[in-house]
Amino acid sequence: MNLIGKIFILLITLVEYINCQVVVTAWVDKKIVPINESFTLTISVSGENISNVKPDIPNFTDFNIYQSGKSSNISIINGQINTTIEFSYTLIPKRTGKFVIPKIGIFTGKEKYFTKEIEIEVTSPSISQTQPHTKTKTQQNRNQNLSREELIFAKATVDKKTAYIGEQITLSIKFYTALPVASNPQYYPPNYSNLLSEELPPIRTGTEIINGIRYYFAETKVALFGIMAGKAKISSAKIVAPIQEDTVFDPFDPNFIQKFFSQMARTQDITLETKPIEIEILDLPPPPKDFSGGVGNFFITAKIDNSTPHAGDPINITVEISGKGNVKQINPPQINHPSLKIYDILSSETNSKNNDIIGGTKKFTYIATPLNEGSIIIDGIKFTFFNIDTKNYETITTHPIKINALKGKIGKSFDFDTTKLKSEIITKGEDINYIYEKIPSSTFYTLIKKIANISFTIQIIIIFFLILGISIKTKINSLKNLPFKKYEKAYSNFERKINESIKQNIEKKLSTIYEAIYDYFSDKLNENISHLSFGKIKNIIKEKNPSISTDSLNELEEIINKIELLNFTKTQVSDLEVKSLLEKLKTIIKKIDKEMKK
Amino acid sequence: MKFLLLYTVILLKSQNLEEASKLYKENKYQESLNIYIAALKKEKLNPYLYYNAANCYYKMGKQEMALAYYIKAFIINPRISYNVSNLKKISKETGNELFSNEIPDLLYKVYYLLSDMEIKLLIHISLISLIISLSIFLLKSKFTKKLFFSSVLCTIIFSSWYLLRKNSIFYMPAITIEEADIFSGPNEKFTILATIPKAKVVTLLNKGEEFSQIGIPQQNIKGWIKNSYIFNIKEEEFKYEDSNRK
Repeated sequence: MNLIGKIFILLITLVEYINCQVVVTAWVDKKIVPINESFTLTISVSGENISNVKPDIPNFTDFNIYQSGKSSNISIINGQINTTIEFSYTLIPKRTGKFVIPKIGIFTGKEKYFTKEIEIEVTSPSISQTQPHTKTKTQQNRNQNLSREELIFAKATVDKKTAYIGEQITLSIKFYTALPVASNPQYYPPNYSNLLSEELPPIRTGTEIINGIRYYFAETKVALFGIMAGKAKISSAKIVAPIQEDTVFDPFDPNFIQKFFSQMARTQDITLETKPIEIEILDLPPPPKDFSGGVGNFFITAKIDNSTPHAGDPINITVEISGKGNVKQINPPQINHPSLKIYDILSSETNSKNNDIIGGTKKFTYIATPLNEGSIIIDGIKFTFFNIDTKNYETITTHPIKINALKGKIGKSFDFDTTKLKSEIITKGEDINYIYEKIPSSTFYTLIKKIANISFTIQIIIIFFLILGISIKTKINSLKNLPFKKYEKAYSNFERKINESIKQNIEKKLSTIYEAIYDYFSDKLNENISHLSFGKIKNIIKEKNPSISTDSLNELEEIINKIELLNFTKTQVSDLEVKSLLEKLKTIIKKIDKEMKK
Repeated sequence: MKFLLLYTVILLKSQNLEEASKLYKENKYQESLNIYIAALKKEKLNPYLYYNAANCYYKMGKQEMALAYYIKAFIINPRISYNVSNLKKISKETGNELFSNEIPDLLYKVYYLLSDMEIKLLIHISLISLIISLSIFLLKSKFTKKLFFSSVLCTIIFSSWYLLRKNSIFYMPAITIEEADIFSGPNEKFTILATIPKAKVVTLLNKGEEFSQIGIPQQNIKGWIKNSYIFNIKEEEFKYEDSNRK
């Protein structure tokens, strides 16, 4: 690679580095603070892809620290999204002197950045709010009559005992003392069950007269939010206060000077606890379908950065929801318009704790594109929340937004992703495939459907013809083999006729028997033998079936002769005689039939 | 004379479609869509017309209708590559898993090589050739071995393929045109089992007068939905009017 190439790559890398850089800064609102006052530390982080960063706050030995807010701001310039997040903390000094707020680390997911160290000077308390170090003589006398529990105590109170899920409950923890305290007391906050907490700094201090006693007090407030319906609990808060032992000095005592100075070091730690509190959390009424998750009291505004964009150009629609309540939990309202494509929704928020009420502003930035030229009117954007003041769901709407989209610039597309190297092929966008300008005919599909529909009919027709063919074939075959069939069925036909003859009168009976014999032999020999004498018939039988014994034929001839004789003497024939004759005839024909098959 | 009339009809049709393409090019999607839908009413089985209409719907931001039309084109001809890629894209955008990433693309190509209609036709052809071979055997007492066995084999293969395809989401698809509740029975008094988002592809199991039984195999949900919330894609009389119906 030549030198120019190397310089080019170096430049690209430098530009990318500058683009991706994260800037972290920290500052305080005052550098010299009286011990009985608080000050604010703000940490600001700005850059790309920093939505999930959080400062890694170290343990401060010289200050009590409370998070007092978080705000974020998003700016989109030429498709580059830049985010700035500010974290605010309230710090309360524990002792006087010069201290340093150490470097605070912030991890962005890729790299860790640090703030600079900040020097703070904590001075003696301001005169207006001094502790009761100096007491009037009358108060000192009155205090001597009271117990220690009456002179120094802590109290926890809530502004409501029942609240809906997400509704703010303000907890106040107050520390009262009528005794001198050596240094700032140590505070151990309570534990919360089924509650989310948010500190409400700063700590208020002042004096209050209760039952004629003048107390110095320090108050801390916490905003609490119920998580689930049911009971929620606030455990005891603990305060450890180092108080000075109250001794009366005799100025005439020889050791007065030593006693007076040693008094400063003689302190005693007193532990105070507040009473636990129970709160009833109520479930929200059944929510409507478009409920945004917001509980509080809000108002909504919407604006657009460019009301006359070209079709295909990106525009930013900003919807701001402000008010008191759980701003963090608010989901973006829906914007639906067929001529508008929403690519992404960015959200940022600014929290406020004005007058001890949690609230703020949630800003949603919709990155959208008009799909085609023409007028686009977005009806009022709706936002539904649970109004904590009216205890009802409420839907508020923005003014309609009018966009007059101009004709799109050919070939222009917009890209929000700037993380890729310039030397690579950069995908600028994604779209569906283009239409088919020449549409083929649907004849093929229609034909397939028609054939598929009629093919069942075709199958039925084929099966019908198959059955017809088979039955015709069977008929033809049977006609072709008629003599064989007659041969096969000769004996059964003979037997049938003989059985028929039994029911007939004697005249008809004899002729039927005669006929049965002749038909039997005609079928067996496949010849018409009705005109022949039995002698000739015997010869033909013998000729065609040599296996038949002569005895059988002779026996049959004898029976035939007997039948002929009986036919002449019909009147003298008894039924018994005919019956035995028939039995004999059946036996002999059966015998001949068997011999023929051999 | 008849030929002349047919030629005139074809010419008029192609002129109209050219106009639709022109309008699409000019980003006048609604006007373009109107022409494609008019053409579809005459040619109900033209996948390319469904595809173009789906593109118009997509450009107009009506994703649920675009999805329905891409699926309809896919059912008629699953081999149109543009349609398949658009269908994959829109199914991803609408949160539908019509094509699993775990199954290789080649397997999908084989599985959806033919449409249901084509497979059905092949089953019928195989059955007809099987009957013919049986007829030859019965009437002529001649066993046509090759014809018989190939027909049996084809009948088994195509029937199995068709049975397998019955499990596909494209066998009896329907699409939700609005966010809707799924009930455990065919009226609103039954328990709500789930709320289903807009543009979700479901399998239509039973069609009733007011409620239809549907299934979502991926989530193992089966229930009843109001007919006005779903768009029946495979319906013989495909509702060409857009999702404004309710």
